[in-house]
Parts: sequence; structure tokens; C-alpha cells
Amino acid sequence: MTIYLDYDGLLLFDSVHHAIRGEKLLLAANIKIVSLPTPREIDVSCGQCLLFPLADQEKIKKIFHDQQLKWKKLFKCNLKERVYEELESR
Amino acid sequence: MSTKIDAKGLACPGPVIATKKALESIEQGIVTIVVDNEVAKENVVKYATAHGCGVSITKQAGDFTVKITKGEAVLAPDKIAAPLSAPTENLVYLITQNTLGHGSSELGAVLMKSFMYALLESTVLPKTILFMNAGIMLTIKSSPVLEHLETLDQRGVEILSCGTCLDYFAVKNELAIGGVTNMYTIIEAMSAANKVITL
Amino acid sequence: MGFETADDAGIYELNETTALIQTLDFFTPIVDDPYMFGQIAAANSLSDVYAMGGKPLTAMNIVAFPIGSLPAEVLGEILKGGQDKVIEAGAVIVGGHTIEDSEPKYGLSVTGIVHPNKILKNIGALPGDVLIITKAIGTGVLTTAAKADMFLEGVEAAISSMAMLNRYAAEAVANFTIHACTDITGFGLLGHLYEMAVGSSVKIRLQARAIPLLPDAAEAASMGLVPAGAYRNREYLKTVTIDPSVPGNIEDLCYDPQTSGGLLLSVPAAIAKEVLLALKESGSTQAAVIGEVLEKGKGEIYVD
Repeated sequence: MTIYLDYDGLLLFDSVHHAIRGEKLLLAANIKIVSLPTPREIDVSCGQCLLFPLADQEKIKKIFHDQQLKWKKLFKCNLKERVYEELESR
Repeated sequence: MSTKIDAKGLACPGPVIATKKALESIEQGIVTIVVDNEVAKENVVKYATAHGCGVSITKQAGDFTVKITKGEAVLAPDKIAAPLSAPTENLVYLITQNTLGHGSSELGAVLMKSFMYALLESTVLPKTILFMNAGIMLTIKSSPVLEHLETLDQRGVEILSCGTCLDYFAVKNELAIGGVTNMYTIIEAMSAANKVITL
Repeated sequence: MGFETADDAGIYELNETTALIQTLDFFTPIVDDPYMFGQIAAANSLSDVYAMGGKPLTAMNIVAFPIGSLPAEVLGEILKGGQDKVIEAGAVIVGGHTIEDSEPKYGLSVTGIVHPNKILKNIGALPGDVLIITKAIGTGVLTTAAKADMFLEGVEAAISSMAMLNRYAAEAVANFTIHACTDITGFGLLGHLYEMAVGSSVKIRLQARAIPLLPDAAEAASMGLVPAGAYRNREYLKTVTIDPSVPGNIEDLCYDPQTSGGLLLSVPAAIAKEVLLALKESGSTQAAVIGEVLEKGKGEIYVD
């Protein structure tokens, strides 16, 4: 069972390069995140996502905006039940 | 195998009935159902998760598209995979570097993290994971996958790091998970195993 | 009597010993069998009288029926179901009114009596009281399951429960001191608990695990057979705090709108055991203690 049950936000990126850059930026800003392969429920082709507490979503969006990092979709997720609800899409 | 259903305009519990029919008609695959109100969306999601399926929801101008994934190593939320320790099946992972694959070490680091994450969700856990050479970077304090290994450890997976390697990289005091082992034990563990996977 | 307690019955004092109770209710079919629909609708309409500690005397039929498109026998069955239930309640049908409508509806307008000093209100719960309900919960979810042809055993149990008169429960507790009483209907268990809590100015604790549930109700709720009314009830109730340990399906059942539900009683802790025994012995086999009244407050409800 996944250990990040209290992380209820998920960001999807167009490319793994964006995900890698995003992870670096957020770690530098001390925001708790975990990188993980894109859940199969969202997309079956391999990709990278970032998992984080949804409460930090505004902070994260601001950092990405300031650093001009593109992201594709923001989901609210329940990892235990494997439910991913799309909140925003760019 | 993918089925798409339009359940807009259906009175309760029409959307759930449609979902039930569609999910019962496939072994595994994707069922996509479109509803036009929150109550229907909530109920369809409840039905899907109660049947061990994963769900992804997107919204389009008041309608909800619910994508339900059934089958393939479906893990019910209350089932936690136990490591296989029966004598006939003995799986060992040997991890010889802290990245996965060749070509780009940056990508390799990403892949190793993905690998460890996916291993946590797997229904088939190894009896032992052995770390050698640069692999020991994953069992020391600065490891990017420490929490993943801690969870595996809690679930009974044995985690062992080669002592010589820890010493070589001068990180003997930084070991953060599992025990220290030597080449003899490593050989024994690999020989006794039915399957050894080397990364 | 006043309007502050939001009862959907009216009380009018005739003299020192007698007050008149008037109530009415009607709705569209929730089960396929017309006779049972009549029984349930009648039991539901009569319930308010019992919830006030009264005794029904007369009832009048309220009927809407598509005369052209459904056979008259169906209407006959509905009315028979209603009449049999009224007779069981010791009252009598004195007339009624029917209109043509595309959708059938049935219910009763009921007149009952109660002694002015013995009127049970839904306010008056006191800190330290124990909360008891007399019927199991889950009719909303199970009538939804019925439409999906699922959980037939649970549906049968729900039908029996809905058709059961609250008369027996009311008579069983008639000689006990009841601080507050209401019947559980469309607002769900939490909705009616809230009315009691806010009207009595208290805080209430509900033990989710103690709530008696109809067979299959929990499973049906977990599968999304949850009526829209449950979601509406949840939207409306803002002073409820639910502990994260309460499973989602049980939470949904707490908001599940009930049809012809049981009585919700607030009784002094000292007599709770006796009250429960009396209820069980008179046919309310599902009666259970489900919570307690904590202290003075503004209607806060804690569910754990």
C-alpha cells in the first residue's frame, strides 16, 4: 500500500523533463513532494507525476509560474481508493 | 478494451446500473461513462472503487467524464501484499547502482525512484533486496527512496547492504535502513532464490 | 404550540384534556407493489401523530392517479393498503380526494388527539440524555437499490420496516419520561438529530457504529446506490463533525433520507435500559442506543 496517503494533490506534466525540473524547484523551496510514475488510471503510457499535499497547490503553482515551468493537469487524488479527479487543465 | 457510455439524463440509479453492466461485461479494461450531475458522478465513483477499480474524473462544462480502470493486478484498498516467503517461491532483487539503465544518469535517477514507488504497489514483493556498489547510495541517510524502503522493510522485506561497498564510499555510519552484509551471504541469498532480478 | 420546532403537524388545544393533532403527507411510489406502497404511505402519514405522543382518530385519502394509463385495480390496491394500515392504527378513513395526474401519489391527512400535558416535542433533550432510535436506517439507499434490481433481501427488509407503524413503539414508551421525540424521515438521521439538537440548544454525540442498519444497506451505500436526497441533506447540515474513522458508506447512511422511519427519542440515562427493553418487547426489534446528549450548545453534532 502506498505510503503517501496524506498526499492528495497530483500534477501531470507534458514531458519528463518538466517533471524533473519541477521536482528540483519544489525540493529547493522545501515543499514536500514525491515523484512517481503516472498512475494507470490517468494514462497508460509511462510518464512522471508529482504527488504533494493539495493544500500547497497555490504555492506550487506560483513557483512554476514564476519559473515559467509548464504543467499539464492538476488532480485531486485519493491514493487509497485510486480516485483521481481533475481540477485544472492547461 | 475500452467502452464508452453516455449516461447523461439518466435518473438515479441509472448511471450506476449502466456502470455495473459495463464493468461486469469485461474482464479488464477501461469503461468511460459520462454523466451530467455531481450526484451521479459521486455514485459512479463509489461503485467503481467498491469493486476495486481505479478512477479518473475530468469535467467538461457541467458534465463529468469518469474513466474507470478495471483489472490488472487490482489491489483492493484493504489488502496489503505480503512478501512471498514460501520455500517454493523466493524472489531476490540485486541492486548494483543507484540509477536504472544507461544513457542518462538524470533519467536513471528518476527511473529508480519510479521503480521503488511501483514496487510498493506491487502484489509480488521480494523476500530480500541486496544493495551493492553504488546501489548502497539508496540505503543511506541521503537516499531519495528511503521512505519507500522503510515501508518495504515494515512489510517484511529483508534489506541488506554490502559492507565493503559502504566502507569504500565511506558511508558506513550513514546506513539508514536494513542490515550490513558480506559477499558470502549475498551469494547464499542469490543461490537459494528461485528468481534473482539484477538492476 | 408555536412554530419554532418545525414539526410538520399542527396542534390545537380544544380543552384542558384534549388537543387536536393534524398532519398530512403524501408521495410518489417508492416500491413496485401497489398494496405495500399504500401501507408505507399510510404508516408514514400516521407517524407524526405517534411522534407527538398522540393517537390517530380519522384519516382522509390524498390521491393522484393517471386514470387513463394505469389500471384501476392498481389504485384499488394502493387504497386497500392504506386502509388496512389505518385500521391497524385503530383509526378510520372518513373520505378523501383524488385528482388525475401523470404520476401516482398517495398519502393521508390525519387527525389525532393528545393530552395537552403529554405532548411529545422534538425539543427538550437534556445534557446527559441517551438517544434511542426504534427502527433501522437505510430505506433511501435500499429503495434506490430496488430501482436497480439489486440487494433484494435488503429491499424486502426495508419494505417491512417502512410499513411498520410507530404505534407500537409510541405505546411502549408512553409511561416513561421522554424528554424529546421526533420521527426520522426525509432529512435523514442527522437532519432530524440536528432539529432536536438545535431546538433543545444542546450538543450531541452520535456513535456511528451503534446505528442499526437494514440488511444490505451498508453494502448498497458503498456501491453508490445513494439517493440525491442524501447529498442534499449533507449540503444543508453545517454543524456536523464526522470523525475520519467513520467509513464513507456509513456517513452516507447518516444523511440517507428515510421514508416512514422510526422514532428518535431523547431519554434520561437512568431509564434508557428499561425503555430499550420495552421497545424491543413491543416489536421494535432493531431499537438501539445510538448516542448521547453532551452539554448545552447550538446544535453541534459529533459523529464517531
